[in-house]
Amino acid sequence: MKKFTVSALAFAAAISTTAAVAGPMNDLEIAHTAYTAGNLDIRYAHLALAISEDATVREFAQTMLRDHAAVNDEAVALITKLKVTPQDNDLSKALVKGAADKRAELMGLSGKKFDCAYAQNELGYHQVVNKTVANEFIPNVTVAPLKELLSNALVTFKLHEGHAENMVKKLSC
Amino acid sequence: MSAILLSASASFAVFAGAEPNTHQIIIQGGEYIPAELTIQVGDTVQWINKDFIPHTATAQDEAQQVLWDTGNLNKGDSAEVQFTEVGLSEYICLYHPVMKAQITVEAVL
Repeated sequence: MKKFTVSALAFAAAISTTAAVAGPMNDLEIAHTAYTAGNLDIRYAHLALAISEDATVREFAQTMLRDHAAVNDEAVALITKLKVTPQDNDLSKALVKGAADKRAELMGLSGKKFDCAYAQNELGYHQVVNKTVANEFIPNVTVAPLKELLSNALVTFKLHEGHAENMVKKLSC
Repeated sequence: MSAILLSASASFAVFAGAEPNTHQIIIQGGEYIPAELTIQVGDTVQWINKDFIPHTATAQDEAQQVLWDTGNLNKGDSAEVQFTEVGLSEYICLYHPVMKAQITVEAVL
């Protein structure tokens, strides 16, 4: 239980710090961070498929690849339509750094230890991301299509959170 | 529970005593709408995915053997299954097992 909280806490701490230092994020920063968070979960999924031999973990990872790719495709279609460019920001940078550290930790594991660490990280990651999207991103975003995209994405991410919760239980970590 | 996956253009089997109906279930917001549906034997159910992530509608037995399955449904895709036996058919999305719903198939009166 200790390990999965690392990246989740890093995410939460980054959000808190970023908000305190720079104020509310603008639409383009929110879009960048949401896209980044999806891509980072895709990278976790690729790692899981490379290391895990557990059917439950592999099925979950395949779903993360499939769904986050679909969400990000929608995001790319929207920013293309709006003719805007998402802005990199401190929160996106903190997420990328935190995920790199977590991947390095996961790459040192195998078997049940890896499966549990991956599953617990996915649960913690989705819990924090969902809370952030619901309480920070959706209320603050001003462009209606982006608000709609984030709302639809949140539905997907909540499915993932429930799925991750069941995966952790099934693995008896 | 016997069921037949139909293509969109397939014709329906004819069951004596009643005209088979087609019922629609919308997949949206990570839910099957309606989540509970009662139909008559011989009827067809059509699922339409309005989410932008892929889903399935899949029934399995206790040994996880597939009883019927729409297959992968991308955004905007649809698939039909004809139900040929009376009974309760619970199903899930294979990709998101937290999505659950059921179809009750009744005898034709």
